Order: sequence, then C-alpha cells, then structure tokens
Amino acid sequence: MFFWNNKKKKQETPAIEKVEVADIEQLKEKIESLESDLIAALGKDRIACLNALGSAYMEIQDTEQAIHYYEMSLEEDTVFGKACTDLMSLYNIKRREAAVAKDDEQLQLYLNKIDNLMQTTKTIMRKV
Amino acid sequence: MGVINFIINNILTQAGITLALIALLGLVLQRKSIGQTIAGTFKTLLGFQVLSAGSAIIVASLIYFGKIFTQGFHMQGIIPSIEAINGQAMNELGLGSPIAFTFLAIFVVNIIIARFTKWKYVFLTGQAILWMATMCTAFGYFAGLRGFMLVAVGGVVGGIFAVAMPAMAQPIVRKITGNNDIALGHFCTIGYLFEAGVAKLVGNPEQSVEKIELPKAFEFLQDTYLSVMVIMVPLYLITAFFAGEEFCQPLAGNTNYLVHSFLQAIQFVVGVYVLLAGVRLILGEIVPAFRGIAMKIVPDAIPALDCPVLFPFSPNAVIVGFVTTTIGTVIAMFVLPSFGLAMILPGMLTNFFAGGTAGIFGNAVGGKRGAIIGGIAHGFFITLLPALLVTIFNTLGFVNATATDVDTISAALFYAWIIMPLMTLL
Repeated sequence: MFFWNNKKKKQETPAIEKVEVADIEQLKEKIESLESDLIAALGKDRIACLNALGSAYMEIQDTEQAIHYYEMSLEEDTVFGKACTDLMSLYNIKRREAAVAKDDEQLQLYLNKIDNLMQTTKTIMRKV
Repeated sequence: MGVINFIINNILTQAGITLALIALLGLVLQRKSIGQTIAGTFKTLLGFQVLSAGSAIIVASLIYFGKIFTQGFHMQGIIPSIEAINGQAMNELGLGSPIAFTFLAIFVVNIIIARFTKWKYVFLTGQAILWMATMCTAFGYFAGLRGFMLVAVGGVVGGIFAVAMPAMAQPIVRKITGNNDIALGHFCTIGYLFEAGVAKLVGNPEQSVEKIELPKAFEFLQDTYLSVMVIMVPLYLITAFFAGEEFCQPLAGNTNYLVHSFLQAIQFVVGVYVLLAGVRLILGEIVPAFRGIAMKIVPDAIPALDCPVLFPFSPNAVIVGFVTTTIGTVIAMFVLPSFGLAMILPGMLTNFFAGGTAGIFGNAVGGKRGAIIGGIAHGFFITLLPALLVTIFNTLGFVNATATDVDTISAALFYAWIIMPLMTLL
C-alpha cells in the first residue's frame, strides 16, 4: 500500500549539508582565529564569538564541538537565538546517531538534553 | 483459576499497581539494575497516590465553586482543566487502570505506525499522551466499551492521533524551523491548524510579527502555579461576591465568606500542584524507558516534542498568540451561553502554551494580521470545543470541569459522534 515503507528510499536528508573541502579549510582557519579571539573577548563580543564557533563547527560537522560552544553561549547568555535553535538540531543528530548505534546511555543523555533545552525555552519565553 | 481471578480483581484493577507494573516492564526492558528497577517501580506507585491526593483537593474546591457559580450567575460555570479531568477519571470514576493500559497501548500503536509506515513521528510528550489516554478511556467507557476493547480502541485512536497530529502540522513546522528534524508533539494541533487556516485567509506572511517591537514582561507567567492563581483567585472572589454572603457563609463556617472563597481558590492551585507532582513522578519513570525503546525500534524517527520547541523561532508571535487567544476565550465565555452552552472560563495556561504556539502558526502563514485575527478565532474555537463536551462530562460524573487540549477533545467527539452510534447498532 502507498503508505508502507519504500525500502529503496534513502533515509532523511541529514540536517547539516555537506561542505566542500576548500570551504572546510577556510572554516578551520576561521575557527582558529575565533578561538584565539575568544580568550580576550568579553560580554556581547564573547557571546558572538561562542555562537560563531558553534556555527562554524556545525558547518564542518563537528557536532560535539558545536554543542560545546553553543552550550557555553546559552549558559552565559540565556536568550533566544542561533544557539537555541541550532542546539535542538545538534542534539537531535546525536540522538539519532545513538539510536542507530543502540547506545542507550547516549540516547537518554541527548533526550534529556532536549528536555532541558525545552525547559530553558519556557523560562526564556516567560522573561521576554 | 482463583489466583488469576485474584490478580484480575485485586491487582490489575488498581491503577497505581498497574502503572507501577508498566514502569517495571520498561525498567526491566532497559536492563536497569535491581535497585533502580525497585526504586523506579515504587516511585511510580507513589506518584499515583500523590496524583490521587491532588485530585481529591481539586474536586473539593470545584464542588464549592460549582455551588457558588450556579447561585451567583444562574448557570453552570466550567473550569477548563485537563489535570482535573485526568484526576477525576483516574480516581473518582475508577478508570485509572484502563487509562494506564491505554497509555501503554497508545505508545505501542504509535511505535508500530512509525516503524512500518512512512510517517516516522514518535510522540514524546508523555503528559499529553496521558491526557489523550484519559479522554479515550472516559469516552470509550461512555460509549459502552469495556475491558480489552476499551483499551484496544483507545490505543488505536490515540496512537493514530499521536502520528497524525505531528504529520498534519509538519508542513507548517518545516516552514517555521527551516528543517524536517523535529515535529510538534502537542495535542492542540487542530487548534493550530484552525488558526493557520484563518490566518491564510486574512493575512500576509510577508508582514511578520517578528519585525515589530512588542511590550515586554509577562512575569506573572514565570511560575506555572502563580499564573493559575492569578486567574483563580479573582474568579472565586467575584463569584462568591455575586453568590452573596447569605448563600456562601454556611459553606464557610466561622471564616468570612470572601476569605473562605480566597482560600478555596488557593486550594484549587494546591490541587493542581500536587496532581502534577504525581504526574511527574509517574512519567519520570515510564517515559524515559519507553521513549528509549521507541527510538531504538525507529532510529530514523522524527521526534514530536512539546510546544516550547517552537518558541525560539518566533517569540513575538508567542506573545501575540497568547494575548489574542485570551481575547477570543473571553469573547467565547460570554457568547456561548447565549447558544445554550455552558460558560467556559478562560484557562490561562492553555492560553499561554496553546495560544502562543497557535500564534507562531498564524504568523508563519498570515503574518501579523493573520496572527491577530487567527488568534482571536483560535481562542473562540478552543472554548467552543470543550463546551460541546460538558453535557457528556456531566453525565459521566465529572465535577465542573472540562478538557482543554483540542485534539483530545476531538478524539472524545469521535467517540461520542461515531463510535457510540456504531455501538448502538451492534
């Protein structure tokens, strides 16, 4: 029937699109520069730097580092923004990887992280 | 045979034990340690007892409110509270065990559909599934279903809703989030689609509400219970005032009748607090176990998450949705009684979460004009649907309360309008 699985159909397109090798090199240079900027950055500049690092790592598909910087950004400045929306996608990627690997510990870890992010979202919304 | 009868009559009919056994199953399937399994099982049992205590507090407060409202305004005043409906169904009506089994059945049907069809949505909002199980069981019981059929039909109806609602919302969710990673798992989706439909007719998506500056600060909503109190206290006080001292004083004993009314309002909030603490204890053990299983069975699942998942994408629309939905519910509160329906009082929590999310839908499809007009229409719509259920709720023995989440109400209406006539033919 029409609604049954089409086995030939490949899985959902991954959330992060593939980046060309040349672009990856450029992004890695950008990351290096941002990481050195981060040491001295303060206040809003630091948050912008953390978000830029999260975004750059997400583009080169280093989800762990992207999560690391976005989590730092959200912890230091709990507001709506790219950190919030990208983290949801990143947690979901990790959740899917854990599910495929049947790694229950990681699966629960990222499901709980999704729960906590939604709780943060509620808190931010009430403070708007 | 004696042992089986004992198990059926004394164990499986006890909702707390049934829920604890479901948690036990989940924990064993997850291969948890013996200590964790025992702790989780007993926590679930404890959670049900806490839920029961909360329900008793709510019911006592609602009985009082029903009396003074009828005296004050000569009509039935209904408080929309899915928590109150769940508490009453599980305790006072004795449907706790079938609700627990239906909860499990909905989860199983959802996983089966997601595993074997192209609709990969796995509904992860445990609380919403519990509300859906409550409504399917209560209305299935009303339709004449009993035992296995009550649970099986509830599981199929609820399971289909758990996949169909995220699927129906997904085209707009994709537009909001820009990807297909997550879905919306909140049983108010028919209301969201209703708002989106109105917004499409009247609005323009180019003129987004996110481009304008909105007044800030909704601190009173910072705490769930404070926001319930902000509404319940004036509601009880005004109602007591209209009912008059002569009628209210005998109910208040030696306390002043307005002070007593104030305390009754606080009792309602306390009841919601206790009941939700019980729900959290129950779901805290069951949901992680079963969602872990679901994700492993359907690794390419699209998780359907609670409504705050959309808030970061359109925060202004949440505020517009909340305000306009509240306006719509107040209009409906006064208009519906003129059509012979009960007066449904506004529920601020539903207005915030469902109204806010509906605002995001309205804005995505029809911009600020769509969000404003669609929001008012949404408020009216989510008040009209629960009003249609009041007569059946009264017949079933529920006290002065009606459900809130419109998808669960739609499931209930499906039972009342489709399954029940079919049952009479059999």
